[in-house]
Amino acid sequence: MIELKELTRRFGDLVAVDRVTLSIPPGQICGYLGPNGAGKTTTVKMLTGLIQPTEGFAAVSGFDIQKDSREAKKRIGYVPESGALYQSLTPFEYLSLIGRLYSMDEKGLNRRIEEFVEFFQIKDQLHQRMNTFSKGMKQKVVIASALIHNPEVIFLDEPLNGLDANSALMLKEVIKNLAAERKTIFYCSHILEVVESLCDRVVIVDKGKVVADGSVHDLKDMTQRSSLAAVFSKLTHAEDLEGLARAFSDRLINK
Amino acid sequence: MRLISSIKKESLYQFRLLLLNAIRMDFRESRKSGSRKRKMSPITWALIFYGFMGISMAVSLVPRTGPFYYTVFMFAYSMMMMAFMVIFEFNSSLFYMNDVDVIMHRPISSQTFLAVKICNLLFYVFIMGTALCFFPALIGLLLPGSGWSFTLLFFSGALLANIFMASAIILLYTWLMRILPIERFKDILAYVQIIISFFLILAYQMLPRAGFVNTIHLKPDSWYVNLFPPVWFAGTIQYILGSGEVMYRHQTLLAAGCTLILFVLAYRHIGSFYLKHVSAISNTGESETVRKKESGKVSGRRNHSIIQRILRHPDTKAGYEFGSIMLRRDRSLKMALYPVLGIPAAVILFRILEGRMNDPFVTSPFSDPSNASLMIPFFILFMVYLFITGIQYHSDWEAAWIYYTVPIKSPGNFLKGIKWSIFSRIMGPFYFVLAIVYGAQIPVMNSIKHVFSLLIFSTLAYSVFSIFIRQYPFSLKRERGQRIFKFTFLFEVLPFFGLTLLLQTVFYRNQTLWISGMIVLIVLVLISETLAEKRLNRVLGSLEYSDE
Repeated sequence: MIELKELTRRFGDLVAVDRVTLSIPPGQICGYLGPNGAGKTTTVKMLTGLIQPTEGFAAVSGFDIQKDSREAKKRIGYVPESGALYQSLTPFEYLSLIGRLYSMDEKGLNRRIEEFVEFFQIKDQLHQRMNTFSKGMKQKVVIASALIHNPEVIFLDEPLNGLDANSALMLKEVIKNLAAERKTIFYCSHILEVVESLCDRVVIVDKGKVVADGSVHDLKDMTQRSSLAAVFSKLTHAEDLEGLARAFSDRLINK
Repeated sequence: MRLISSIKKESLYQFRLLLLNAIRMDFRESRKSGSRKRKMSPITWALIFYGFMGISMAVSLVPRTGPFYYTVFMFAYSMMMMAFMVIFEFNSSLFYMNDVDVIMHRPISSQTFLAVKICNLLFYVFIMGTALCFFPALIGLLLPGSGWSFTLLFFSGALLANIFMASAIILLYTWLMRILPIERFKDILAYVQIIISFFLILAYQMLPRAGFVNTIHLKPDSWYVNLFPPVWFAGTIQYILGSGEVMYRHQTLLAAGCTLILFVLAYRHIGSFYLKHVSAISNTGESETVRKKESGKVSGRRNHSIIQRILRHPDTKAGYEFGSIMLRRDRSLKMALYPVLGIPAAVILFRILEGRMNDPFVTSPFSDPSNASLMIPFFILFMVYLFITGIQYHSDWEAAWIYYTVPIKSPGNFLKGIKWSIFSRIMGPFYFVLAIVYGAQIPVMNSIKHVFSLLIFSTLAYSVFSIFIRQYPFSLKRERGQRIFKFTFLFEVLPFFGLTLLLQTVFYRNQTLWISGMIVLIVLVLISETLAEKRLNRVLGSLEYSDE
């Protein structure tokens, strides 16, 4: 369960997130979409306790992220867009560290690590330092580190970044299964096809404000568009993109 | 105490895990994939060099000092180096940006994480302090009236003094973070570091003159020696060893009182704000100052376009443009380069206060080993060395792939452009101010000639040091300990320093010699610039991109 009430974040004069109110129940996969700079990552950062809201309230699994931040964070799994990890460690060392920070018992932790490395097919690299890994391999470790403690609420910010097609397909299935197990999934992405196929509900933000909230079907009906991409373009005031692209390409080629 | 009592069992476990992990990461040696060649971590190198420096300093002090003076100066040196370590390693120790995305969304309290960071930093202070002071503690046995109790107290006192110094700098930063808006704090951080470096060197220069009659005894009524923290800790050792002088008792009280106050303040003021500030600092945006200045800024652009006209090669122009933007906007680069300016500035100010800004055309640098014409060139050369080594490293080193995909014809010329940008934005203004300062102390013409000579000497050093660059600018990972390791490389400057003094002695004899000397040096600068350019072109022509 995720709850946001009038959640606002300002950076100087810029209002990055503007009075966002949402309630996402357990078992729901909520796609959170918006153009670049719309405030998606800022929202996720507030919900995961990385930055403080300027105003408003946010709770995860019933715990206020500001007042009961530790309890809330115990229930959170987060895949950041940056894909940051400690690259001088091996996947085993890194996942062990993360699991232990959640007080997982040694036996259970080792079993989980083994399951993840088998699932993501990185068993051979388990004891190699990650500074030699490809982006996709690092992303697999980041995802494993977000899920290793079996969190109730999962924040995924562009989780498919760098993953190969097979791994992406498998991860999408895992996300669906996690939702079926009543985990709350908050999914930020620009890949609209994935959001359309995966999410029960889509929230579109533009300039920090929620401009649409509903199922993909509802949004299509509301905007009279046939695809989520067209819905997105209409709601973010970016129509006739093809015409704009054509004109730009012409200028580019003529130069 | 509030910090310690707030750490519960679970937090203690997390604390231990994170601290051990941080130490493990820092000591991991560099190793490239597919290569068996191992490189020691910069911290290991720094430890070795600190050991050598401690020994050489102690050996030079022992024959001409007593235990108190010896302790004061070893502590002063050690505390200064620790303070520089905190300044140079500020980002990588207390505010490591990866922590935000890796750790901050985990259930770890602000106090626990702060405790990890501070203990991690203090661990480095401890090991660096040990490297620097362990052998001097043993060498101290050779001092008159010393024994094993002195050695033991010297060593433990040195560690306490180092921790005191590091904590004081951290507290200062935290206090600034609390009183300033975070964007403002990020903007001024590099300048704060210049000021701290300045005062550190100034204090280090003032200490030997503060009331010491000679190197064996201390003038009893010189109360102002108590302004220097190393004196408090040295006095405490004398007091514990049984010296009943009132002065030592006062110094002991000062050491105990100030340490206690500092630690209480540090833990009360830093604790709960830490995570919030790490996050705020990590949200790197364009500098507010830059944004405000950007519109309508005309004078800077005029200088900029003059230099653009001087530079002919397109790669040099591109390098200059890039370097100028980075120096204007990039906070991490500013923090790496700007604090170095504080070092020669403090030496210059101190010489003015001493009334020793002699006319180098009248006084030979060798005639008085402590006069300005000796020390100022040394620290200017050191500054130049730190600039050249500094431009190879950057926090966004991974962006270096761009150099391998764009058609740079001459990487050497590109580097030349970057060097020009440092010259125009940092060194040029520095020499301008130096000329004014000298002009107020010695005849204006001599001042201009001397500063011009220093400019040429340092430019020659700048060019020769750059011959040894084997990477694109800003393309090496800035690792923990790397900056402070370079800081110990004073000896690399020594050949140039010797040459500078020698040439100064020869060229300053008369006008004709000076003019011909400058012409020769300018030709040497051009030759070494060409060599640097060609060598870098050759080295980088066959270099493959590596993102490790």
